[in-house]
Amino acid sequence: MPKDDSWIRDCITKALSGKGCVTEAVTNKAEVLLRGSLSERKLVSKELAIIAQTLISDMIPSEPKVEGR
Amino acid sequence: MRIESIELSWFRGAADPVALTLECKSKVVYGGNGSGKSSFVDAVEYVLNEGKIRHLAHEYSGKHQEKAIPNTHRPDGRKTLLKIRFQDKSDVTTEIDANGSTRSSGDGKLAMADWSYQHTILRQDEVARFIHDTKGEKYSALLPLLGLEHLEMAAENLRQLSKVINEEAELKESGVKLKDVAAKRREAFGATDEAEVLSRIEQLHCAYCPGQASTVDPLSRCGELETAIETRITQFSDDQRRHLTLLGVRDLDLENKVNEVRATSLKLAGEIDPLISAKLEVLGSTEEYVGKLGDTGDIECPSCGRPISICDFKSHVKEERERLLDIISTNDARKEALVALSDLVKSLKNSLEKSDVKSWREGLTKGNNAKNFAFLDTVNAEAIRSTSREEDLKTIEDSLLPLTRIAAEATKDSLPDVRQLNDDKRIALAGKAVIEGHMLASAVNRAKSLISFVNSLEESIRGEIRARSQRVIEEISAEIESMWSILHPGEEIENVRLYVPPEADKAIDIGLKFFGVDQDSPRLTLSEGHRNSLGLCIFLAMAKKEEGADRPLFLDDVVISLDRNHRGMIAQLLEDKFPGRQIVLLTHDREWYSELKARLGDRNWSFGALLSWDTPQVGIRWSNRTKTFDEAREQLKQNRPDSAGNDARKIMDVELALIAEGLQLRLLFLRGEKNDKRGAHEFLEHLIAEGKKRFKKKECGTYVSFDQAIQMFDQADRLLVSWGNRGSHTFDVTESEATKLIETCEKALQCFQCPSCKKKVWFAEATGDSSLQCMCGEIRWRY
Repeated sequence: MPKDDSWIRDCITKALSGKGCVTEAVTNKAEVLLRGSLSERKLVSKELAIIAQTLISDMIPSEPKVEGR
Repeated sequence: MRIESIELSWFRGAADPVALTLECKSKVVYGGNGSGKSSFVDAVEYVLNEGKIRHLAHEYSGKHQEKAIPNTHRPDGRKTLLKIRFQDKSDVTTEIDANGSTRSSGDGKLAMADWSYQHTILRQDEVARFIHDTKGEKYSALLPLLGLEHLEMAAENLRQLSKVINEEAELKESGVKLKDVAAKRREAFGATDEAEVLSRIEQLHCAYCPGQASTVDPLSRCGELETAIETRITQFSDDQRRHLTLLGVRDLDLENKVNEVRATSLKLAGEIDPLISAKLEVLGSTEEYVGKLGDTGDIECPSCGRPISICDFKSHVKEERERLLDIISTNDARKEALVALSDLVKSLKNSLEKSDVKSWREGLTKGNNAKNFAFLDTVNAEAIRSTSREEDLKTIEDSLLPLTRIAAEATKDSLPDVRQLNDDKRIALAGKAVIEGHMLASAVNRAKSLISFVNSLEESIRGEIRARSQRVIEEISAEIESMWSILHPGEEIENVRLYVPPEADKAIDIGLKFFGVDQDSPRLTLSEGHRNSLGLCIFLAMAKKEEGADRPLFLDDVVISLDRNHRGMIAQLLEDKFPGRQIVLLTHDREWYSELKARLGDRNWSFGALLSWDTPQVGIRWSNRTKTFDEAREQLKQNRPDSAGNDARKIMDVELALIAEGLQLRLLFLRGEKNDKRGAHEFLEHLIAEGKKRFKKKECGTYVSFDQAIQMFDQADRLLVSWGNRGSHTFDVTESEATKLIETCEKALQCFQCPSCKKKVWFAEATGDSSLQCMCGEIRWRY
């Protein structure tokens, strides 16, 4: 049976509505997590802490890249 | 995956090996109460539920139900075994030891991997289970059918993740720090904006770091300024340094900090005392409330005595929650005030222990000052964080406030440059705290945005779950409605459906329209029989939803509370809705068994009857009364004409009883078991007598007496009386006689089946006439 992932992108888009300060790194990570462990099993607190730390650091906007000529 | 057979040895009611042979077909099993038919269902449950059978869960059944599962009279050396064989030739064999421990083997477990008890087996006492479940239990029962476990899992993980982000980002601690920064900022800069704070720092930087190129980063600029001030202090004289330290002591706001602790403690005490009193009242009222639940339907609000509405109750809960949150907030403020006081006492200790003020202290070693310094030297500043007793606060005030006052007194003659440097240092430190606070505030805002995103994501997924649940629930509801209308045609109980209650997550309930009035629960109006009927519809509708799984369904005595009319519709329901599904129906209702045999007796269904259970040593036994004419012919091939003739008679005994039932043939009432033990001859006598005027066949558009049938009944009756009984009693039937008997009996029974549409004569009610007829109306029976 093919995995049902069709809801993930829609839910992220809805959740982002009016929340401009969420970085792309966070939304990308959320999508990966929803396709994997978050939807597969109940995560223990240690796993959640690691995810939380990663997402907190991903919320820092990356420096804009200066393109060379 | 269909089941081929279920074999039991010394398991529950079984003694020596006995098998429920299904041959991957559906089957109806008849057995009186206690005949052991449920033992086969127990076996399936035992395998499904990892060695547990729910109805045996009891304090006396033993840890592994070892006192209930093996046959109580299992001889030494015999094993308790169960074996389930599947369509694909796989099987699962379980051996159960005396202590209840089990050993399983075989690859059949895989075949049952996605079976759940809840959607496979329905027992007599569980028919209305779904109706009586709570809304949450109903939701849980339905969840596997919704196929939303992964969304549920994601939503639940996100809910937890939101809390963990809150902890990891230290939002509570950061909030306290930011409050402290705001206080420092107000004190040092007043109501100035960010630009003015930075401008002030810049001015000081120019003054203390002349000629040093200012760095762009404000925090680094503060660092440079701090270093420059510290360097300037090292160049001070002893007097200047003493004054500077004492100015620092003077600026400590001890009095205010003690008062803050006192105020928050008082506020907390003021809130907690009435709260405890109120909670005690609620507990008392709740006890009364619970007491009323059992004996009266008139429930009043335990607080105010008015009838409870969900809306009021929710609002009450909300108020209570807000009240508790207020108290938590006050408690947090008290803790913060204690931390601030503790930090202040630490600063005081550090300042007055400095060598800079040593000479000043030595001049104050008499009277109360000595006592106060002694207190300062011994006080455990850290311990202040956990105390707010008034006597402790008073001691701190009485001992330490005089020290800060004499320090302030001593700074009156401080030189202007020392005062200036003290002020500048304060501004520099406050400026640094403001800039650090700005960064902390950004981190806090990012964390809050992240939490808000995670919360929205969870909410969005829950919305998706609701939308998808709604779709599936509508499909199942349509099926329930359809099944209900088959079982209860023309009844004024309609629109039977599942629904998600408003403002509820993880909840499902059942609604219906009762004589045109909407009802939120079947428990409000339906009788027990109707509830059971509805429970059966719900179980079957859910089973139909997972039809692709092709797992068998076990219905164990589920019609006990249904009356004859409703019970009769179940066969049609199974025919209409589950034409390709393996179903095992177990019943102790002989009439229903007969009816099912008449209705479902084709190549997809088989039938079996159990003998009454005798003793534990004898165990479960099948009756051999339900044979076929082909099996009777097999006896001929084995040169047993007596047995063949006897089998033909047995078949006629059983089949004619069913036919009499189908035709509503009026027979004399006989007392007790005699009603169930009528022989073929008695039925045939009545069929011949009644059939002459009631059995019709259409010829050239007109119904005429079905004389050929009556002749065939008569012929069969004669042969049964002469040869059939001989087969049973004198054992001298010849092969040709037995062959003739079998053929005649078979033809007699065939008369009840239409040669055109192949349906029995009792298939349908004829319109406008008190008659039964086949589907096409070629044969009729007027009742």
